[in-house]
Amino acid sequence: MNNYDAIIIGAGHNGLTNAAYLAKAGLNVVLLEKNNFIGGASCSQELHEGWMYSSYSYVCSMMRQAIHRDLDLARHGLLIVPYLGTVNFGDGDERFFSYHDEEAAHLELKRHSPRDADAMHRFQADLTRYAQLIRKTLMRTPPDPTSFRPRDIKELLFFAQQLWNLGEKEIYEYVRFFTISAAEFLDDYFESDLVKAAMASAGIIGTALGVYSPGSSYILLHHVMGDVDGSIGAWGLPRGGMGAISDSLASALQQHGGELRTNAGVKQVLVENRKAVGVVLENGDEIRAGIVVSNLDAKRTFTRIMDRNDLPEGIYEKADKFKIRGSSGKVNIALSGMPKFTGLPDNRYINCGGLTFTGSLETMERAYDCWKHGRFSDDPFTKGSFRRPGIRPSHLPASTGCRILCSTARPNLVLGNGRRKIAISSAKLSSIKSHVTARGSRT
Amino acid sequence: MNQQTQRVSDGSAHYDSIIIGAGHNGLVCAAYLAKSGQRVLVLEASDTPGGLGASREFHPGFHASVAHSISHFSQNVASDLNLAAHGFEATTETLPTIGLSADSQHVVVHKGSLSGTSSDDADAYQDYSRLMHRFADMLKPFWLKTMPRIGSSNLADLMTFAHLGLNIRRMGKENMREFMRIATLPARDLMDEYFDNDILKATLSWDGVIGSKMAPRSPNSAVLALLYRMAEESRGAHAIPAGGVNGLVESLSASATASGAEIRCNAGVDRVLIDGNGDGLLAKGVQLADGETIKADRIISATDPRRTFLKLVGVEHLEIGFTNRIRRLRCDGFVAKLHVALNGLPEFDRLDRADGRIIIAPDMDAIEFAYDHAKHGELPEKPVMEIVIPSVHDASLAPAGQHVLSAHVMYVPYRLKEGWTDSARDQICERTIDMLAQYAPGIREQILHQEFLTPVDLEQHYRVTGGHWHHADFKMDQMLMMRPTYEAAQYSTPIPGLHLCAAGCHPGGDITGAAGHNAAREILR
Repeated sequence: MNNYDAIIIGAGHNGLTNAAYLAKAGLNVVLLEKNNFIGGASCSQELHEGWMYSSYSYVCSMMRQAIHRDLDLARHGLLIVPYLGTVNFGDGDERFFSYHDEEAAHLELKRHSPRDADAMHRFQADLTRYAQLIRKTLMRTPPDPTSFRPRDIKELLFFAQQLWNLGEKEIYEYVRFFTISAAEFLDDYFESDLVKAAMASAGIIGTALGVYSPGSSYILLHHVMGDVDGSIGAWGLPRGGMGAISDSLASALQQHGGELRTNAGVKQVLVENRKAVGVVLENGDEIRAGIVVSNLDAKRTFTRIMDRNDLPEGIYEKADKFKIRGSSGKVNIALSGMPKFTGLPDNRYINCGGLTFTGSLETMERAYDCWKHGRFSDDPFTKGSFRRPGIRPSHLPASTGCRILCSTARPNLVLGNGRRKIAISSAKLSSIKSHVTARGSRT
Repeated sequence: MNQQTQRVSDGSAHYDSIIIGAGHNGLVCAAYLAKSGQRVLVLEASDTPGGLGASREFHPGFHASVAHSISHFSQNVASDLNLAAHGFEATTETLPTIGLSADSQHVVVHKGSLSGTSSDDADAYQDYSRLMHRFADMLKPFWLKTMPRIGSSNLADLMTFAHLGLNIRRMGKENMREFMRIATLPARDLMDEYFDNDILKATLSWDGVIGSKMAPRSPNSAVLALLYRMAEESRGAHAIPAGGVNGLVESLSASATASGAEIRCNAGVDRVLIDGNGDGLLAKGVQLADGETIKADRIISATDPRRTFLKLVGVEHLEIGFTNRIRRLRCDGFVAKLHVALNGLPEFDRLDRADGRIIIAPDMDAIEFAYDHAKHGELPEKPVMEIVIPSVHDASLAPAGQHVLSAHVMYVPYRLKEGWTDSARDQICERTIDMLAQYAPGIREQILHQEFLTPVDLEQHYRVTGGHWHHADFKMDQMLMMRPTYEAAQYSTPIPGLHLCAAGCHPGGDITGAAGHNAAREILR
């Protein structure tokens, strides 16, 4: 059958979520995925025999609880195991641990700076307030401020009212928070370079901004925007890797009668009488539906899988100008055992959370400077996590499930050049190696 | 100048308004207040009025002012204060802006057209100008308005919001969307969307970033800075008025004194005198460096907000939250000033005559690289700069046949990591002259004397915090009703009787007179 109520293009986690909701609402939906696996960036893959990686995304916190509940994802097998803490490796033997446990966190902060330990309460309270407004908007459709349609006007008024309700002082603080740099905001609270760097590291990954860039302050919301099972600000790894999120969504979709096709890349969106009516697959098959939903980025959607002539005037040009600039790379490493890190009392913390490698905001900014100018950084900002035995997928052997992944500022211009790829890998590894006594690692 | 400034206060004199600082905004405010009949005293710490626009003899016979050209001085202010009658010519011929090229053709932007670029770029420039002028016109009325306090239910305040909303709406749907899209874009993205020529892109982005801690890649406020600078009729083109920027200062002083204001130089203010009683605080006078006190009904500060509140008022009179908001103002300067006395007109490669505003920045990356060094507290290896040779336009600035070269040099950090020393200053000065010499090979032999003012020097000489041109960075959170902070954004302050009237207030820096004008209007309200 090639006739549906809705076609969703791309089985990334948003495509899966969208399809599952539509299916749950009773629509006859088909979700089309180009790859032979689902999940997009949220996937678990066996890239090395016997090792299951979360090969792209690597940690979960921002996934909305409402989706978890609406689609009953727990019943479909999703279990997120929270980090107990993270460790930031500074220069030399400097280490900063952040724990989810408040008392432990306070003691550790005090070790670096009693002032910062006090400031943390203020910092958390302020961020939580800023996050509240954003949380209210996350599950709403942003209005078109140029439109006079009642829905847009109503939504615009909703935003205006939310803002107005904050009161004068808060409005100014909000404007400030959302337009200044992460470094400037952190300087208001903390004095320790290591603490500041650790705080910024939560969000700067993946942005095309440096910690000194105006507007980068919002990345700090990563500390408070998300949650694991209602525990605000917590981060966690799904049991089974990031692919478990996609698997649970796919299971929910199928339970509601939705269809999922892999190896089904969309070649073009069909438009008739200025309305999308279906798609043509790469294999030539035609599928028709009254609703076509694209989970590809806006640029791909409008410039790759649509005929320019089918678009209203100006859309192609705007999509073409839309800025998408990757700034992170990732390395997955299979290790024969748990590496021993220098400067850690034991491996308790890194078994239970993430690792970041950065000594100061300046170091992070310098990595960004290199990216800006199309160069590799000698000292890239690196972030990683271990797959700890407790959350290994049940089908893997218990002894060897550990892994590091690293994201780092690096130029996106040279992506795909094999030799260069090795060069960045080794730059990243060398920055980690100074902290690791590696035991028989293989890449 | 000095004959009008030497009236001595008898100690018992009482003024309606005392203005601290005779920078151009202080003078504009003084002229408006005096014109309305107030008894006004302007106190200036240095020996001439003008602040960063004042002319100085930096080498015997050679004169220069830190601000070397004007681009969007308010025409309303010029006509209100009848500056033409006091020697200021508003309709001075604008300078071409010349982007210097090391090996191919220079790019010249003059009177709305381009030369030295491909015809594609020239066409794109027409589209770019049309759109930017449209947006600049839309925003223009607001630079001369007092920004309302958010939450105010005052009708006039609400009208200002409604007016802005209406102006944006009136542009039509497409323009409105485009405005929202580009308003916070980094200058670099905007330039890349329109143009191919690297020198053109660097030259046009220059006005978006100069003066603040920003480079072409910095998002948020560069486009707004460009639009701010395009607000007046000259559309952002620079001009050197008769007598240089100092000529404007002199006409403002003359207009103010003609209306009865007194300008006292060599009269630095140490403290604002605050009276406190059960009803609260009240600013009632000032104490000069020599101990003299002068009383007035209101004190108006034309110095920067940080200096005003932290040094002149004192934190003991301020609420802690307010003090913190003033302390966290970002006002570290990143522009240095180079003055060079030359024994002849410098010859730039393939440039007929150095009579324009010359930008040395081969591409936007060059600006970005210079910024990258400075933001880490280092000296740029290859500084970028804007040059004017004011003596071409006004022969009185240098001895006959000789010339003054004036350059804004970016980016030179106020906070140099190793701390500022004479050798650090010499080093960056040498690098700047090296850059100059790449484009004007014979210039080293022409140099009679040079003076390099780092932001720290500017802070010391001109008493402006951070050596910052604009008293505070032109950034989203330090603009409009948030400039300098929300309790002091309507030209009044939390201390009754104390007002602000300079670049630290809306609409901000550059030589516009707008802040002085707006403050006077609020005070007379």
